[in-house]
Amino acid sequence: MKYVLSICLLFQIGCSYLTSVSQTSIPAKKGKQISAKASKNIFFMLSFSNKFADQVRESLVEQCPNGSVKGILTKQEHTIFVPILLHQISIKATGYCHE
Amino acid sequence: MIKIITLFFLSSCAYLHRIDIGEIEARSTYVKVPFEINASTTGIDIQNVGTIVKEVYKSSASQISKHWSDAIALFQMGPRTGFPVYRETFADNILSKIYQICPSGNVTGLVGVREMNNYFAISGEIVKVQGFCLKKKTKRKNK
Repeated sequence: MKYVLSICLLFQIGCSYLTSVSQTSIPAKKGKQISAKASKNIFFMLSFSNKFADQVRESLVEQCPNGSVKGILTKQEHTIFVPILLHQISIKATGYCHE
Repeated sequence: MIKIITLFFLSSCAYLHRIDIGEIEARSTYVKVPFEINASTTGIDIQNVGTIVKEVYKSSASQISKHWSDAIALFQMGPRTGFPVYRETFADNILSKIYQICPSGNVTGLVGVREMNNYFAISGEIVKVQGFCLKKKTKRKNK
């Protein structure tokens, strides 16, 4: 019974955290909405680089090659899939491509 | 001692605390010159220092060090990112560095990253700014 309760508690743990949010000024004329995401899985809480975060800006630029991206909402989330064993950090950015 | 070595290797190295992406100008009338600025300082986690002292000196001194580290921790409460630092102005000159690299101030795609490299009791507290300096395309003169 004790083990069943422990396993139940393990799966009841709140698993998603919103670490940070930022928003740039939203233009009056909104263009096409674009979004980009980058994530990294962390096993055994070992992470040695944050280079994955660089992809987000590059992805936004690729989606809007001849314009300007404004009104960017950036969210950083931390999700715990299995405590200690598997975590995930993800960065999501949404903005408007103004051409 | 084995416990300390294990903790050292189990402590995750790179933490990403915060990332902000600024507006991006991607029009082809400009040449984008990428730049990156790093500002860093050393952070110290007094709780982990206390753990090391406790493990190394298994005597009454370890108990005293624990009390001291607990007492100091009371003065370091509150919301924060990373470990406490002794030089909180380490990131103040980022703006002047941007102007040094890009004197026109015409920058775009600024990405501000607040990260930490953790080495158990001490850490590298880092602020990184990446961006593009916009320069107008010069037309080549035909002879």
